Amino acid sequence: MVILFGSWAGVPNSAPVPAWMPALSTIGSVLMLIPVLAVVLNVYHTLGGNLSRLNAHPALPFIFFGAVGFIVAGLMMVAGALLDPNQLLQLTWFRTAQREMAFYGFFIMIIFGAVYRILPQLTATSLPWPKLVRIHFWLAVCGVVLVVLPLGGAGLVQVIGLANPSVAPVALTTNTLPFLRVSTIGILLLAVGHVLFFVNLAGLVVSFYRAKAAAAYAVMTADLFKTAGAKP
Amino acid sequence: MNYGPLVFLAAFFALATSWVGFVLGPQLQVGQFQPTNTVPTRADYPVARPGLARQGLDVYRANGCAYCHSQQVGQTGTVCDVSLGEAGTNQAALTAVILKLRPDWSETQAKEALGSLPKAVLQSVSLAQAQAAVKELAVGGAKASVWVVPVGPDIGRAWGKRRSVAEDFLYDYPVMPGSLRVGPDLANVGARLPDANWAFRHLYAAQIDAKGSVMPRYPYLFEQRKIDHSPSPEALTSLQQFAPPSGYEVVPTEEARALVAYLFSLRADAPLYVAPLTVASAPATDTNAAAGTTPTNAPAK
Repeated sequence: MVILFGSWAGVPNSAPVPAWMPALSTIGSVLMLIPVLAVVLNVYHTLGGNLSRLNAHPALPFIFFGAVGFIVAGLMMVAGALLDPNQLLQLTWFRTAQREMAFYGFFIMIIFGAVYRILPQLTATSLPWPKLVRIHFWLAVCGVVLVVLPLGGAGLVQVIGLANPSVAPVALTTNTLPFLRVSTIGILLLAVGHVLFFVNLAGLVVSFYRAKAAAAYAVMTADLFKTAGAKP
Repeated sequence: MNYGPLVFLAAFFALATSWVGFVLGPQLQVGQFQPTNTVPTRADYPVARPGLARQGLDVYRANGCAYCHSQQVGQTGTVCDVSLGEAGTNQAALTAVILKLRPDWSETQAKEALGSLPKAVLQSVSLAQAQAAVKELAVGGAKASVWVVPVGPDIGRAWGKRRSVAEDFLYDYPVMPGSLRVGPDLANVGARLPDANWAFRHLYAAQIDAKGSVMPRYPYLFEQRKIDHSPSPEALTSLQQFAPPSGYEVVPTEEARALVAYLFSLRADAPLYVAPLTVASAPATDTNAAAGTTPTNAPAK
């Protein structure tokens, strides 16, 4: 469904192309409601309304937030296609906010969750600092919110200005600057989260290979001692 | 059960539909576009950009101008104006018709309008209303005509006279319509700001003329050099706080000249069949100057 409809979405009405393309694109955007609804139902029934189940594994909150991110990004896409008659929203920071929500809020969060879940199983060790995963999660949540909300707000401010020809072109940009500065803070939080992710991963890799090296060293040295001892 | 082939086919089908719809379909249609002509003047459109402007497109691309500037004008609709061209002989009857069409005008306003022809006596009406009004106004040899006027917030800002269409980009490769408006739209910048000095100064430091602008400076498109004997006629003037030390001057490089030539070639004011628009008819002496359909060449420096 996502591939079928999502890949059609995003051509604004004002685009300099034959009119059937934006029309089809709007239909594609609206049909994105179907996969969004499917994810809502899946998440709702999986959790059974009990959010405390997310504490079972540190990776689960990431997956949950990713699902919510998918829903929000889908709704932003539908809203951008339907609620904006002049389609000026498509040329503003709102579009960037929606993209960030889809990329970071959905895709990257799911990937983080998957890595935190799969890597310890693959290496048969556990994450060296599970508490950092929690901190990383909250940093990522705050970061995504602080990036998407201000950028969306900047887009709305921009669209109100663009719809009113008496607003000076320089004011169009300067009005959005406070929003952009807040979103920079969000990006910084995301970067700190990435550092924590790297630290945990590096710790995992080091402990994995240290264990491997110790085992290999034991095997090698045992062999050495055996052959040495077997010599007459 | 092995669903592998089924899943593969389903995914392939899903991807194929959007590829056919948004890659193959547009390519079959837009890829076949031929140069068209303006309506009703029948001038060739679009005209390939002059050599220097074509080089400027590469400078535009290299400096990432398209990240912050769009080149697509939106249009929310089209309205009609009724323009009275000739008053004819029966002024009293004409004034009566005008007053009937414009109940909000006083008789003196109507007479003033007759004194300053050509004048739009009706604005923002539908085509049927405009055509009816033109018929009514044809008293005593008076001549009125219907003007097609595109409207929308972008057009209100003079970012274009009409919406952008695919034909506008026919000779451009790559096409750079832009996707974010941090700065103003540039689709019509050649008609909007045709002052080379202003354009060079704006590229050198946008803050000089647009206070508070966040546009980065592009000083590397210019050369700061020692004045030899006498200042160059090309040197930038009124640079204010960005002025070079005395004895030096700032002159545009070939890249800056190409970029400005490209910017001057950007116009969104040619009346086309797909984007109709009435333009003031050209003076009879210069039949080639119809509606600025010919992009200007290099800046007049």
